[in-house]
Amino acid sequence: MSMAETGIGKELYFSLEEYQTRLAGLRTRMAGQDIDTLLVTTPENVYWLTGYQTIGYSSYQCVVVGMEGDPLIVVRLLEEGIARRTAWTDNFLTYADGTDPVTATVKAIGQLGLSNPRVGVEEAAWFLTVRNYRKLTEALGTLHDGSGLVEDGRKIKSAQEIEYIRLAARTTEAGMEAAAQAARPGVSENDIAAAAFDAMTRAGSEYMAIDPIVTSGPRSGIAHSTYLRRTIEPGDAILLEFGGCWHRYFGPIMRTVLVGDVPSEAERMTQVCIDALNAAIEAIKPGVTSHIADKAARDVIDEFGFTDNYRKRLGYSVGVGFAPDWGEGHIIHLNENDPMILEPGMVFHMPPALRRYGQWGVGMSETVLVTETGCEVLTGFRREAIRA
Amino acid sequence: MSVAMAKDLLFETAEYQARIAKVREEMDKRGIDLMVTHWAQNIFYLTGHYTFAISNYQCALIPRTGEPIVIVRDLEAGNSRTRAWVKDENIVTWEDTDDPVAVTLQVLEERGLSTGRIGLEENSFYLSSRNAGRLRAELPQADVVDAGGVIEMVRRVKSPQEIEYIRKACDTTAAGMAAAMAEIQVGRTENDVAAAAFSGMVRAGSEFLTNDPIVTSGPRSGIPHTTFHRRVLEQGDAVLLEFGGAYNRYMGPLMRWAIIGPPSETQQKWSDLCLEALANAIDAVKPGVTTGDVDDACRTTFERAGLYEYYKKRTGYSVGIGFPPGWVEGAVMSVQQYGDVVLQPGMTFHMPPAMRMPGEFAVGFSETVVVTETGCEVLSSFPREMVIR
Repeated sequence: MSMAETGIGKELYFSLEEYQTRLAGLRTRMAGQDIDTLLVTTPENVYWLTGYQTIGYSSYQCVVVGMEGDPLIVVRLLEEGIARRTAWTDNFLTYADGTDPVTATVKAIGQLGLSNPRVGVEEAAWFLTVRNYRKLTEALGTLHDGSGLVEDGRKIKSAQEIEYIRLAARTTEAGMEAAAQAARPGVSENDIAAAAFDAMTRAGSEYMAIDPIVTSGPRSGIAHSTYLRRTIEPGDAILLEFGGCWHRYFGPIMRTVLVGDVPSEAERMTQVCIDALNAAIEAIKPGVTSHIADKAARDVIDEFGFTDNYRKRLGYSVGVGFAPDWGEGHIIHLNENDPMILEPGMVFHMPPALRRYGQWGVGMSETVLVTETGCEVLTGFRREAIRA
Repeated sequence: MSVAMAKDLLFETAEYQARIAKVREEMDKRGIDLMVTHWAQNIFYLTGHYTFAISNYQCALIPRTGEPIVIVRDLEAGNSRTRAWVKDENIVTWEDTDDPVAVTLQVLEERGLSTGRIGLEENSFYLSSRNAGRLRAELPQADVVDAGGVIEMVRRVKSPQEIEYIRKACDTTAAGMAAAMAEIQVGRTENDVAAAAFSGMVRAGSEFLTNDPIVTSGPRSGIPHTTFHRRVLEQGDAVLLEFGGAYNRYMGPLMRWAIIGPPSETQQKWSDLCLEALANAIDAVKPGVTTGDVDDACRTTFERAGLYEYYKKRTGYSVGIGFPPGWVEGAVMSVQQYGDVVLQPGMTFHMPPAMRMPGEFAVGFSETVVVTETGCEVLSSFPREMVIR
């Protein structure tokens, strides 16, 4: 019995109209670059366009988008069941293990019936290997860089997407509350991470793009460190950053736990992060630039003399995510000298964080929505240091 | 950065140097002067540097002589300085306002590494076609070749220390499996089971996972690559579980299945068949046989029973170092039909024979094993039997 014969029901999380709108917008952008056939391989883009989602996204997958008709999804045979269940179209072409997925893709392009297609490929994508890219070039001749064509449509979130980010944020908040309860001297970073994951997942979160980030004491002063079995001690700062997931949308939050008496500079830095975050939230509204939003927070940090402890951008777009990242910072972000103009429907995660290298790290974030008139905070957790 | 943090190395410097010596032997065979690796796994293997933020550009340069050079985002400098065994001068960072490929090219130029034969890993998930194209175009003096798989050749055989870390990872996985099994009952959700699994693993010492616990139940379990999605467990559900705990970035995956209430005749038969196939695979593992031989032992179990169509997969794959999105060392080697890699002591595999009735249920069992001098040792320590809840 094949997957096609089982009558597996659909699990669609957006209306067909919404998918058609996304597709129509993409085709307009393709036409603008004179591309009539786009090969979409980025997992987030594949999901956004078709609904197809799998934990097996590191295997070759490609959506062939022509200028009319349903997109054609090229997937590994093992994926056919979940593809039929989660994609709004049943237009698939499968390849067996041990056969060449590029050959299948070329065949799929042939089905569009174009005599001389202008084919676009996402050259900036992870997961599409250079080897497969080269095979595509050998089979199809000159390829055109279609990176960013789908991403342009992901910048502004629809009402349904925003709703899923809100639902994701509810799960993140549950995790943050559980972590706040768990954090105290004598427990390990792992215990706090376990409490966070447990609460987020029981509250409904799906598999995450990044497991809960928990780093404490001297190691919290190292950016991008996470739980590694360290025992919490009095005087520690604990940096927490979680992103719960709902239908692959994310609503991350960063908070800081201060355990007992911490160095006064760590206290001050925590307050500066709150002030910087508040300033950014105040600054965000349609029409201002990414630079202005970034500057609002940066000015606060500079004013208190913590410029060297910051050294990062203010934040990044969030929406659809698969591991290893929940961010869409490669699409749009909030950064110095960035002229991008904010528009209603954009969603950003903004985590101003300050570190004293090898001593402590603190930070504070919200996930926010640009509204018609200003900024709505989508995450709801007390914006203050957690005391333990 | 005025405060120097102590190094936090997971292996002796001598072990890193031995690995690099072996990589250089492979480079010699291919006349490669410089390896540029963009695989997070290979960067970790040769330098010790790692981060969860692997969606940012990072690479390591392995020249013919001298230390490797690590190129990472500025935010990762702390991780590199504590985790990589190399001197600080061999850790180069790029700022968020920099172009990381340009930084890489500059380092190659400054250190006299921009000529000769340069190996790029064109099978890497983390090297985009655009970046590869730029590196090729902007190294006109060099002969840039595809060297994907060169470092993986060396990763095939694990050291005693690596095997010890895999063993510890397996212990965390077993703790997660016990917690997950205890959670399974009518009225709980798939998410509750995944939460228990994660909590069990991480409280037992697991680090960040490569992928969250795989929990799929009832009809959805009959669809490959589904996982927890808030489904409420019902009487008669099959629940397929597959997790991999991580210890010092080494993985120890394990698959089991449970049934709520008595299994059907088919489920019992299939469960027994998967156990038999796994036992046959384990029996076949020993030095000198090929990966194809091991796959034959497993696959023919299903063929003899006339049930191959419900199986239809390879027997397994190498496991060891893991980063998102998976613990599979697919680029290292697979246990599959016609596989011609000859097994050597120290190779480690995860072998998960499973059967699916599309849209109805799934059953499966796995073990993580190491090839010993005389045969095979199972590193996982969880009862290998169907669980009835």
